[in-house]
Amino acid sequence: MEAVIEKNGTTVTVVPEGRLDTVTSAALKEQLACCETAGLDFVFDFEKVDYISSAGLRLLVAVQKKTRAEGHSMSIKNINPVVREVFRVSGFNKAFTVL
Amino acid sequence: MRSSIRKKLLLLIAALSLALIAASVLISSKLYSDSLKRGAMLSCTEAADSLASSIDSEHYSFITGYADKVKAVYEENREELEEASGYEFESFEKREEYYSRFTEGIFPPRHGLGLSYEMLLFNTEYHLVLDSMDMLSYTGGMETASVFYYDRANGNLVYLIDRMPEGSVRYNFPVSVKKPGDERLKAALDGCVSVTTEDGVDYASLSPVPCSDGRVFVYFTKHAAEIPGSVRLFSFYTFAILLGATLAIGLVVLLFADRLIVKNIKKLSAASERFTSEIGGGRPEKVSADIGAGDEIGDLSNKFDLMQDSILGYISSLAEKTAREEKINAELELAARIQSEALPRGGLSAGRASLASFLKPAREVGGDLYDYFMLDESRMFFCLADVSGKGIPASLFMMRAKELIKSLAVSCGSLGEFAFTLNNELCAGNEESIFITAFFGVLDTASGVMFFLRAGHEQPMLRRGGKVTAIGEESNFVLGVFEDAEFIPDEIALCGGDALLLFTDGLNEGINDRAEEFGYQRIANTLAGAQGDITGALYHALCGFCGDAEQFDDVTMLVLTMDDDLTLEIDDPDYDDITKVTDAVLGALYGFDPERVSETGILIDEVMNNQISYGLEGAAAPRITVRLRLCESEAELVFEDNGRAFDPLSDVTDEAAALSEGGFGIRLVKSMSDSQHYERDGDINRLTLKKCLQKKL
Repeated sequence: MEAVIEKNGTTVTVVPEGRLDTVTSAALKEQLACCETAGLDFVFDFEKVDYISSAGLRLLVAVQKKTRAEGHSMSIKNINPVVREVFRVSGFNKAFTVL
Repeated sequence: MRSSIRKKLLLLIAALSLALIAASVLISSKLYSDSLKRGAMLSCTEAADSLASSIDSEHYSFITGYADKVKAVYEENREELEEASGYEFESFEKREEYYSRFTEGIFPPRHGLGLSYEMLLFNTEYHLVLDSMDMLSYTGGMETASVFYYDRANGNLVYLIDRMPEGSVRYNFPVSVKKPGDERLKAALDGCVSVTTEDGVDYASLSPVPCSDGRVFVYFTKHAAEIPGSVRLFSFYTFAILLGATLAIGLVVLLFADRLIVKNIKKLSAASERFTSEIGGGRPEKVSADIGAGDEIGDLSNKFDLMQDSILGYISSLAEKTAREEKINAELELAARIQSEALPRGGLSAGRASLASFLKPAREVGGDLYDYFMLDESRMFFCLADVSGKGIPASLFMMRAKELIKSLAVSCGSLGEFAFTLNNELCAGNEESIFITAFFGVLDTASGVMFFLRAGHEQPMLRRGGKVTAIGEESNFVLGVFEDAEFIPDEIALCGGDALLLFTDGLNEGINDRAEEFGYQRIANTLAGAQGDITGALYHALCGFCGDAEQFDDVTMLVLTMDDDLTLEIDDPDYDDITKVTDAVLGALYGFDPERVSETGILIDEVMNNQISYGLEGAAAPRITVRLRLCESEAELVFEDNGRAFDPLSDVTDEAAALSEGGFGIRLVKSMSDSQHYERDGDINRLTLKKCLQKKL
């Protein structure tokens, strides 16, 4: 999976596509590591995400920890009911900023 | 036995003739013999009587005088003469010499002459008597003729005159004595009456000379030894004449019968033989016996001609009929081929469903019918039907029904409407009351949901997980009988691995040598154990059961199989294999509620991540197996690995572990699936998850 990553001022928008599971999360993690994202707010647009597994959750947790540490924010938008349910079940709906 | 009538006739005539001849010969020879005997006796009697009366009337004085002289000599020498009657003289001369001395006194010898008895020859009267005796003997055929003096006191006959037959040496000299042996002669002598006695073929007649006062008798004997000979000769001639006559008559009768009967019968026989060979040789023609006779045989000949006419008529109509039948049979064969070619082959696969068909037609065109086609991308229509009856009417009806089914299946909105319309179409103008039993199904090849309608047909059998059950307990009416009948379809969800068998009665009613039916139980047993080619296995079982018994009905089967579990086996797995498994499973679940399908993807990711990350540690040949089994709208996922025994579900109870890295995953699994089950099976960990793929209403 190749996510689209756009920088726009102080915000970086990540648009993953399809599943966010063990394999794709690892790939996205590598992709993000290659980008200079320090000092930017993260916005994950889940418009095209089918579902997310715990591996994807762990990636989000890692990104959130990093941005918080830098004094920035991370938000997730356009989640589908499946993703919403995963967030609810895992309790991350409280930890993440879901737009 | 060609001349048997002739032979029989000949035998009959011969037998009758012989009997007749035998009777005639017997009777006539008896009569002839009797008359000969009577004649012999009569001539003997007449000769004796005639001589006696001749002596009485003409030689009375001579004979009495002569008798007295003999009597005197006899009485004087009686004892000696009695004794001499028993002598056997050496020769005639010795006898002559012996008796001469007794006759000397009677006939004194004259000078110049020899023996005394010769003197008698010079006595005229003696000579006359002797001549009479000669004449009578000659005319009557007498053997002997004598004149005796009878000595009543001593019972002796004393010769007076004895006729000497020519050349005979048995001349009895006068005064020689003879003892009468026959009792009847003695009685006649004593009573002085005439008598003729019979002793075999010899006759003896004795007549007294009346004037002699009972002292002189005439004695004639006749030897009739020639009578049997002449009777035999007579018989032979009679026989010969009668035989000749009967042979001539028989020959005439035979010729007549031959001409009248045998020849005509032979003609008839020859004609019938020719006619028989005519029949054998392709184009038979009438053969006339050509008998003009107006009798029974002529009648028979006419009847024979009539019979030929009717046989020829029969043969020509039979030939026509045979040709017609051959043509019909050829056409029927062609019709059966066209009919079976009208049915689809090769099966049909769509989505998770595969349909296979099997048709083994009986010898003639039949009424079994099946069809299958796609109504749209995912809906498969299939049907199996059996038209009542056999032969051309059934097959014509079947072809019509097939076209109707195809067009109506496409145009009708529901199975109920389809059956209603089809039924009314089939009822219209169905004067013959041909009906159809059928099973129709419309299968959603993605979900496995099948609408079906059973119209009087055999219940299909469903094999699920090794168990076989009949479906469609309630039947609708058969088609083509009740106009405007309502048809109510039923519904069943087919699962992965299911096999549905549709068949016609040719299968369950297949019979063996003992007239036993193959039956539902054998079908169910075979279906339960069949691997791979189900129709092939069933037909093989049927053939094995029936043996050589001829099958009268088509054997038609449809088998609908739902793709079984998706089974993925991964050796030495890594994380990329998760993607492969996910792609495969989610692909198989295409068409279900997308959210639930997505959640299924999460389940796969979490479980496989766990297996690969932790579960397979230390396994020599790590291996993961994932199976998907769909049943109705429920998906069953089975994950197996050969790692150390580990129950991922038990971990979640531990709060700390639940919050650890892997804990999220298990929480999600428990939340996203409807049921979870773990088992350790040998050295295999097996986790079974079930998930409903339809949104709950």
